[in-house]
Amino acid sequence: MIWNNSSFTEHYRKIKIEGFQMDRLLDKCMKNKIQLRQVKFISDLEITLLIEKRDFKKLKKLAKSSYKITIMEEGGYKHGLQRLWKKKITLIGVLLLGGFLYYQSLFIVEIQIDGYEKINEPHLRQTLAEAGLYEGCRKDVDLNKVKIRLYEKYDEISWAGITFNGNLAEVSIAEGQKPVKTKVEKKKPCSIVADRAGYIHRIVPIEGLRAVKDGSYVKKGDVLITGVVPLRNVAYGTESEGETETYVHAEGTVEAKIPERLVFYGERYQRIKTRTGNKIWGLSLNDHNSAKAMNPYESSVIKTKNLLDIVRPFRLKLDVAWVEEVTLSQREVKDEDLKKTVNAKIRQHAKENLPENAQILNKSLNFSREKNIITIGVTLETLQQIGKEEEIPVDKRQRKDKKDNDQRSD
Amino acid sequence: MAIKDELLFDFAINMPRVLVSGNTVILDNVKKLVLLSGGQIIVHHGQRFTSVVGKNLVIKELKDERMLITGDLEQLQFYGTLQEDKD
Repeated sequence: MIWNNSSFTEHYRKIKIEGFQMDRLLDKCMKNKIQLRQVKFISDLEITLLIEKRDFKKLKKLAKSSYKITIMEEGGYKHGLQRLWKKKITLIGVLLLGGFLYYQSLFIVEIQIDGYEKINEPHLRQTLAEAGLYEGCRKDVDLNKVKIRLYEKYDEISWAGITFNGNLAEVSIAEGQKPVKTKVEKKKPCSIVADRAGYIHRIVPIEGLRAVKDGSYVKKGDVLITGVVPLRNVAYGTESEGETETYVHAEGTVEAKIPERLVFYGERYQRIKTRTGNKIWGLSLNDHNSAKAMNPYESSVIKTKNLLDIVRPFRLKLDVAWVEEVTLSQREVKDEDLKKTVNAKIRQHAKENLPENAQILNKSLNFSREKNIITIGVTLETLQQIGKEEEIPVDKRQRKDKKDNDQRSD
Repeated sequence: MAIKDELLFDFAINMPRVLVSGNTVILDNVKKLVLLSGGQIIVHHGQRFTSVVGKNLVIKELKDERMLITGDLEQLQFYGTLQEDKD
C-alpha cells in the first residue's frame, strides 16, 4: 500500500483516547493500516495522537464503546479553507482589502526628485504635473513624454531619468552648464552691437566711435560703437603707408528705449458670494468628499481642513469638509480696481522678463469692454542697456605679414 | 558483509531491524504492539521482541510495520520467547 502523506496536511485531527489496554487499540490500528502520528502517553489510561480525518471513522469503529475518544483540535489546509468559507464576511473583507491594496498600487503616491541644483523644485513638480506625472496619477503615464517636456522646458537639464519604485516615482536629473555668453577678451578688437531692437536714447563711448545717432531706430545686430577707427598714417615710404584704419576694443554704454505691447484680460463683472450661515459637515477620504456629494444648496462654497495625509503603506488623506451656502450677486469692476490689478501684473512681468537695470519710462493703458471681458492693452516704454561686445574678425596672417614688412623696412 | 548475509538481512521479515540515531529509534518489521507507555515500548517482530526503555517516549509515526520513536533513550533490548511459552 502506498501511504498518502499529503492527507495529513489536507485535514488531520488531534484526539485524546481514554481507556484500558491502549496497546491493543494501536495494534489494531496498525493492522488496519491506519496511520498515526505524535502518539504521546499522558498516563497509563490516556494518550493523544494525530490521525487523518478519513481514518478517524475507522478508529471509532475499532474502538467501539471501550474507549472514550475526544477531538482536541483540527488542522490542515482543507480544514482552514472550510473554516474560512464559513466566515464569508471575513473572506469578503480580506478580498476587498487585497483589491484595495492592488488598486492603490496602480497610482503614484509620492514623487521624489533628485539631482537638481539651479532649478527650483516646485517648478520641476509643476512641469512634471503638466506632463501628466503628479501625485495621485496612474502609473501608465508616458514617461518619454514627461522627459521630453523636461528637456523642452529647462535648457540646463542634460539628462532625466524616471523610475517607479512601488508607488514612488523617482525622478533623477543631471544639470549641465547653461551656455554662457563670454565677453570678448580685453586685447581683442571688438564692436558694441545691439542685442535687441530699439530707439537709441544715449550712447556714451569710452573707446571706439559711435555709429548711430540718438533717436535712431536700430535692429538686433546693428553696430552701435564701432571698434574700427580711422587712422591717419604717417609711416611714409613703408608698405603700411596705405593703411587707413585700425582696430580697438570698443567700450561704452548704450541705452535704448524699447516699446512693448502687452495684453491682459479681466472679467467685466465681479461675482460676490454672500454666506447665508447654512452649512453641512462631512468627511473627505482620498478626495472623495461626502459633504460635496450630499450638497443640497444651489450655490455653495466647499472648504476642507486636513486631518491625516500619509503615503505609506498606501495613500490615505482624510479631511474635514464643510459646505457653506452662499448667495451670488455681481457688480461691474471699476477701472481703478482694474488698473491696480494690471499694474501688479506689469510689475510681475517686469520682474520676470526685463533685465534688472531696466526702467519703465512710460506706460499707457487702454481698456476695451466687451460682453463679459475687459481687454486691457498696455504699451510700455522701457529704457534698457542693449549693447553687447562682438569680436571683429581680423585676418591674423595678413596682420603678421604687415608687421614683418614694417620691421624689414626699418 | 557477504552476499549470503546481505540476502538474509534483507529478507528477514520476522526479525527486528533497528536504526538508532541520537534520540530517535526506527523499528522495522513491527508485527504487534505488546506494551506501550511513556517509559517503555515493547514490540513483537514475529520471532523476537524489541524493548525500548527511556523517558518521555513519543511515537512520532506508526505506519506500515514501521515505528519511529523519539525521547530520552536509555536501553534497547532484544529477546525471544522461551520454548515452554511457545508450547
